[in-house]
Amino acid sequence: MESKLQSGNQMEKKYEDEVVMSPAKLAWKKFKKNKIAMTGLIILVIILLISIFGPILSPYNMAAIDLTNTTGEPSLVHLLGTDASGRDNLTRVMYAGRISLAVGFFSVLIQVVVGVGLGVIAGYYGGIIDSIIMRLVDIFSCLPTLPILMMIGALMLDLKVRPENKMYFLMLIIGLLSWPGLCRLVRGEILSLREKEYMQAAEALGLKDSRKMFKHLLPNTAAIIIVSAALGVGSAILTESGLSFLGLGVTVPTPSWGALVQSVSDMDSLQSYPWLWIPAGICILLTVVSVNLIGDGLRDALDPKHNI
Amino acid sequence: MRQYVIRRVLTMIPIILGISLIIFLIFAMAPGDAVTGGANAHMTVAAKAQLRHQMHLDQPKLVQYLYWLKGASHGDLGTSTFYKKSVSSVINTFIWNSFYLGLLSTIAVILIAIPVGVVAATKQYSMFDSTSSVFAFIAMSIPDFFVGLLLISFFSMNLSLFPVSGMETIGSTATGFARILDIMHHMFLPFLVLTITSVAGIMKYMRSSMLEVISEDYIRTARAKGLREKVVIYKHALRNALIPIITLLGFTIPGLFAGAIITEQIFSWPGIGPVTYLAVLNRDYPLCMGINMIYAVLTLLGNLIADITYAVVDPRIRLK
Repeated sequence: MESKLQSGNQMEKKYEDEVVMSPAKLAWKKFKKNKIAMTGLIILVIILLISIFGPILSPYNMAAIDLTNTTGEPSLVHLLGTDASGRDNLTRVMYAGRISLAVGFFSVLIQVVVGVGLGVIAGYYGGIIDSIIMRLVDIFSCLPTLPILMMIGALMLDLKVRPENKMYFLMLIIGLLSWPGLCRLVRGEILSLREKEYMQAAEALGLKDSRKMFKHLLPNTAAIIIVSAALGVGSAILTESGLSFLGLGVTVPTPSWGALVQSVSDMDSLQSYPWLWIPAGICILLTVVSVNLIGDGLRDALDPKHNI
Repeated sequence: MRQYVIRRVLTMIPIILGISLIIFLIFAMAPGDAVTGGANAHMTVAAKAQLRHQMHLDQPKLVQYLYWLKGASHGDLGTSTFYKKSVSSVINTFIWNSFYLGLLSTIAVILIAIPVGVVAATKQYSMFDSTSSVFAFIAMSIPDFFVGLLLISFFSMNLSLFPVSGMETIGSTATGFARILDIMHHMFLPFLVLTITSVAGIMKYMRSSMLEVISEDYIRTARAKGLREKVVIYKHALRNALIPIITLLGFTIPGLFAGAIITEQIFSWPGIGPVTYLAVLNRDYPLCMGINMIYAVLTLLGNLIADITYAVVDPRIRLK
């Protein structure tokens, strides 16, 4: 009898333990078990920390020109050598990381705000509002991203936008060109969630539309938003670096990883000064790989059917 | 089916109008116009004014757009200010070089991605599976220009195996088979870049599609009735797993023509990519507009083809 009671208590205790786990905690627990995704997270955090604090700790100024030491080879003084104007390359790579990462994260933020907002509205109201938003999605998803960004880059040169301000325009435009995919996903999800019983309950309670949309429907689409946002950061960084590589994105003297790779334009310097372009290229690769690994890990962790 | 296609084509028209308006609005923000460009620097003020009048550039922007639309509806996309030829003939000259490159790399992508995806799925968690998935993650995350420069540095500079740029050896008089060999030689590196950067997506897709099908009930049934594993995988599972891939390939059709601007630019491949770059650099607005519209129409067509092939290969869709 006593032992039965005890085991009953134990079961209760176990049950309590499970109750404490919020969906976020559960996902984090699953994510932590995924070694590959954790590796991605650790690499990304390291790159973030180096990009944020590196330029502050570096003894060199990102823009300090030293004409006595141009295209210097990597040494103990300049770990990644110096560029054609004698600027310390490591400092520039770290500083470029700030720009590239900022463009990646903030353009995804814009993408999420626009895509999720319009997706929830389209899915919730349906009818004519849905049709209008979905036609907008059709139009925006057919816009050729890179050619339009190239035109905007040329436009920024013509309008004489200051190089340090270009990144803000790039964030905005990349964000505004990439929202349709997420909008479609969220709309589809809302369409099916709208029919659930708890929405009928919300209706019966007489809740306001905005409260129903953003308090009751939106949290249930969190999983797809988080996963596609994580994967979006990678593609935004790739887009920005490609554009800057063409000389139409972030331009000198402000460095971004793509612009640093572009700084060796002719084949001879490509061969003679590998330290000028390889580190920036590897930084892009590592960042995008880790972001994609995290996105993949999140997809598994947030999928209730998927057990590791 | 025919009605469906007609309806889809008709809904494309407002989308194309919307796209053209957005692209035109971007140009409208630019200071100066096609006549201001460097190519006309020697012109007198009067000649410039006359040229502007001829090209309707003295009209309000909205009227200019309507003029462009009127021409475009007849297939006249205007005249390129940089090439001094009609936009459609410039595009027609270069787009085929992009197409050959794109076609070959797409074939290679299919030949690599599908078998690798299938084997990775049937041997899930094996050494082969993890190796191919590591490769896929790297390939989908590496910027195309970085792959291009690495390949140039290694194959062209260190080993002198492949030419750095162009499509044919300059001054070459080779004809027939020798010429094709020369073109292939020049094509190899850009082909490799395109293949590496686009193989990963289809490979991962193929793997997950195959994994999904293998867990279906009818596969268990096929195994239960004693079919050989080969028949189960390649006859029953693969056919169904390929359906979403066929749709995916429909989406790659615009990419065949649109090429890869950055890759073609690095290797000076005379496709539509470098033309786009030159059009932007020289503020050749009619050409930019034309190229963008071609890209947009190709994307729409790709979506349409994807939907149609989906209905053709999967009878379940047609019944709905």
